[in-house]
Amino acid sequence: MSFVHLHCHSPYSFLDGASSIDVLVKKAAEMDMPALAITDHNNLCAVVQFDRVARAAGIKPIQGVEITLESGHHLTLLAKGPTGYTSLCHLLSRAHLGHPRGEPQAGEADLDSLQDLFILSGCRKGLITSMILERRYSEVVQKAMAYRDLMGRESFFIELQNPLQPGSHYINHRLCQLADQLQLQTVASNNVHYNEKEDFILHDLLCCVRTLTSVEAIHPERPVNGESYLKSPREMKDLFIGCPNAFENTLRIAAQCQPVLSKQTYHFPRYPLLPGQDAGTVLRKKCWDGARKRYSRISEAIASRLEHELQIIIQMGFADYFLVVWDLVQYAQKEGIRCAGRGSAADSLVAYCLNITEVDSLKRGLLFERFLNPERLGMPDIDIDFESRYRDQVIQYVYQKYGSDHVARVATYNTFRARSAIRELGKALGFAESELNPLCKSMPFYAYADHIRGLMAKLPELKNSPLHDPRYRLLLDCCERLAGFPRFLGMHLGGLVISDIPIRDLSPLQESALGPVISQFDKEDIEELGLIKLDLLPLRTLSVIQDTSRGIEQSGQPFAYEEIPMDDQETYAMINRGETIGVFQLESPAQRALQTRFNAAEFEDVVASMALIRPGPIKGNMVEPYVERRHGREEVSYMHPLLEPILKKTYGVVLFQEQVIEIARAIAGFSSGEADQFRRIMTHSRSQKAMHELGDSFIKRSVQRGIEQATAEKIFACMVGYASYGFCEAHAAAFANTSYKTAYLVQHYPAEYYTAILNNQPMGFYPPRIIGNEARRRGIELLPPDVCSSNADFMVEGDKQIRVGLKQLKGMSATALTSLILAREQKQFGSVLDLVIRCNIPLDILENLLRCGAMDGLCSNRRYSLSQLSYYLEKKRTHQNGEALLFDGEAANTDNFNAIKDFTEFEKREWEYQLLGLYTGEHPMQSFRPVFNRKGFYSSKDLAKLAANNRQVKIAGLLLYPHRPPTRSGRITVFFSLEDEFGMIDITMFENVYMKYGSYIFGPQSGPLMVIGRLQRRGEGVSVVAESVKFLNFVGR
Amino acid sequence: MGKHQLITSVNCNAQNIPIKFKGLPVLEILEHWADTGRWWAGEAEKSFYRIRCSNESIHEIYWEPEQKSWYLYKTYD
Repeated sequence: MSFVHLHCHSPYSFLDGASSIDVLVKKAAEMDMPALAITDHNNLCAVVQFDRVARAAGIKPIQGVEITLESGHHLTLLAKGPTGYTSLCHLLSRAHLGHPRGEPQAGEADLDSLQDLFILSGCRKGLITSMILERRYSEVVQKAMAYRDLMGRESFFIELQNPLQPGSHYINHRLCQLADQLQLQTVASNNVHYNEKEDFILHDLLCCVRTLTSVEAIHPERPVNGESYLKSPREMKDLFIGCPNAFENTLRIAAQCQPVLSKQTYHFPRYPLLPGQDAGTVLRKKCWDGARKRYSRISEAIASRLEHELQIIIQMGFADYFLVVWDLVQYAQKEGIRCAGRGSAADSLVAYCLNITEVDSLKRGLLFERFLNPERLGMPDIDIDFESRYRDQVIQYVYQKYGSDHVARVATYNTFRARSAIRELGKALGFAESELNPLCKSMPFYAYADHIRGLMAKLPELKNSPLHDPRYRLLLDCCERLAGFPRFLGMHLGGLVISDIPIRDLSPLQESALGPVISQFDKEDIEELGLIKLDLLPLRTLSVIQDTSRGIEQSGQPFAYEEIPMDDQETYAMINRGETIGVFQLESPAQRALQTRFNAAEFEDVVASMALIRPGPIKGNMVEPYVERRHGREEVSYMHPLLEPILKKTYGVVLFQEQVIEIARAIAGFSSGEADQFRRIMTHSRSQKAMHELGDSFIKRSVQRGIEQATAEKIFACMVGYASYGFCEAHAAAFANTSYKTAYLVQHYPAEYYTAILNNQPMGFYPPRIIGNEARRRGIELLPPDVCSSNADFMVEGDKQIRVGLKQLKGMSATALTSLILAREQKQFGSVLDLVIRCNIPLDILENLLRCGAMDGLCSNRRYSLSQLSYYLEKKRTHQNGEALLFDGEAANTDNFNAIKDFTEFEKREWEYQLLGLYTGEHPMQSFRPVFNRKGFYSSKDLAKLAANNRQVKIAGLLLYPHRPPTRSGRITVFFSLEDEFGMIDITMFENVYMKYGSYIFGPQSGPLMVIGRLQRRGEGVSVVAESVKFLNFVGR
Repeated sequence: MGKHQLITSVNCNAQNIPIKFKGLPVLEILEHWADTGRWWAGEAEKSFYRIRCSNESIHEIYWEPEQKSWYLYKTYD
């Protein structure tokens, strides 16, 4: 006995499917079902994953959809093959794009163009069933005839379901009558929403989330029972004992449906060429033109490499793709928009000659095959960073050039994690929001929904969490089951699909929350569909570089970013002191700590730094050995002489993915394609079996080439150890270029650079407060905002001053800002009253301007001015009504001026921080320094001067960036910084201390901290290993 | 669900489907449905039957698995 479920919802029905595709397919295969259909609500998001999982399980994937009609009714559609699939994509695109976002509806007329599909009349919400329930018998006959005529008698089925709900018997009886009357066929389905009966609970909760209700509330969308599971053929047969044809027709339909995705068909974008031109020739010419500009002399090596790459690119059909990217870069450069290629594209000399990247792959000896391999049919992946504020302009250019039908943004599936699962399911279970908020906040933001219990047992701050109470057991059970489910469809940060065919032939399109039209697939699925993706990423650092360059030029100094010398010793000295706050990719505490003992002397050291401070190398404890080898304190050895030329630049350590490829070629004699495949499996596979097979192949081939078996085994083991986190060298080099150059800007133009960073927030690792501190530490004065002289943005004043911009003020609006600046341009303000009268600024913004000190130049008593604001606004109103001002200034209430006591300095600092997010005056720790000194605390400045290693020290400051990176042992190590008026102190806290004091770092309470610990001096830097932590009870921030 | 009348005189077949109600043979199961009720409060799923008895009376009864008992939900006059 066999049966096929033709109406089945996956989690991509977004809050209406409670079992994963894997689970559904596995059960269907276990029940010997030859096929399974997925019919999600109004989307095809599951298509690629379902196709892959079903094929792997040996069952046929039938792709379908449950579409919502304009009447609100549902209709089940199944694609018979690729044409039907395209038809579904068109229908869904119209349904989404023709209606408000989130309310997709297919018009009846849209159904006329459907092809190659089976139509099933639908569930209880189907039009046919609804008409029966409403006793509209004559209409139901007409409608059924219309569907029959639309797709033909053989492709339209009356769908029978028996969900054991009141009325099911009657509905099925009537549907069978209708089928008999019109000689239509029936088909049985179960409207599956989950795998097993007990999964009903999660489905009901998801319905509550979807309908914004809780379990105690009645809602028509909520299921009445747990019958919508993937029933066995026997159970289905019993349900439809009186309708054997309906049961058997599932198999007939399944037999006529074919998988819709065809492998190895790629849809490259077409670069518009003149008649008679071909893309290969044009690309070759542009590359050679570019090469002549990049190199003063074209050597044999350059010519040979360039032709080698061109031959592969053209042969693989990627010439148009490269021209498309070249054109984009040209456009950006013409418009003055900074851009820089990143990722493995920097392995390509063609990309370098086309100005797509700034890495000379030939000079660095980078492998083109890491980027593009003729033996591996895969997409080249070119990622380009653009100045963030102009990135959308570049995307708009792509739309204009290739047509909106051929371009779409890539989607992302936002999934449930611990916080969102607790919040949403908790609400559905009836817990109060006030109860859920602290529970959610107590979870690390990265935690998965199925790791909550594990974290509760592991993390000290969760040891006493209310979540241990048995009343949360059901909530935590459900969170575990919900882990990884998609919550909603979002837009990928930079992914853009460009295709030669209309995108909607392969993917339904819909509007994103942010506006642009997105595909219904994420970047992995896009590639599997054969669509070509570009990553056009917004990078604020490029905006900072541009702003800094302009600032330097405006100050009258000659400057060209492209001509920054790459051997500036002052810059390297600064990097080696770890003074890299604000430097691209070198500013994290881990990077700063590395730099103080790494002693970078040249660009290659910066490249290595990019790859070293990654979870893998840190987890693998390879950072220290690398540093030791670099300083000659550990011997550099090679397991085989053939490895020396490959690993020499990384002191015998496998650091880059390109090195894995080279080793596979040199030791085992793999072809470039085989070697890249080897690298891919090694860096992506999590399967022990796959790794064993890979090792067998590597060792066998090595031995055949005369390498000793033991050596081959050792080399393979070493690659396994490192390659799982190997970093692409080309990417490291591309990033290192920007890192070094931004370090140069910090060293030589700190005022311009930090001004630019403050104007491009949020970005980087640190909040404005830290950037401001760092600027001040470098001798730059931070001036408070001033209504008479501040611009909207931060700006450099004089040589060493940064004036806070008015845009920084919390709650500032564009209208208020424009009003203020226009009024000021006409005539400088004479008083607070004058400002109030001549500007249109709402009361709350006026208050904030006063509180943060922006009007101190007009009135020295902030509290007095605040007390007068209502009076000033009243004066303004009467003045606007024609009443003349009888006085100038605030004379009316001057009696109060002295009577009203102004805010204390501490209060002013508090207001400043709350309203601006930074301090322009004294750092909050500074005023307590005398107390700290009396009590034996060290400042960050004092620590730097202490020589004695392992000495116990007592320090204090504001907590900054606590984090727990993964470690090889699985034990927890916490890193954080304490900030004082002189800078930052990096602190390491090991698991035994963390277990006792972790709640001070990650708990709900906050405030300045005191740490007692041991001083660690390594290289130029110092840090502290914490022994105890507590709040400073005598300091209020 | 509120309290309904306990019925002790329901006879069932091996599948626990009612065949006699208060001594009257059940001629037809007009409808059968399941209701999970307040599962979050520990309620078990109930099975409902709308039955037509030999005297043409129509009743809705349900099986309460926790009590292992039948209850009368509704009688159609």
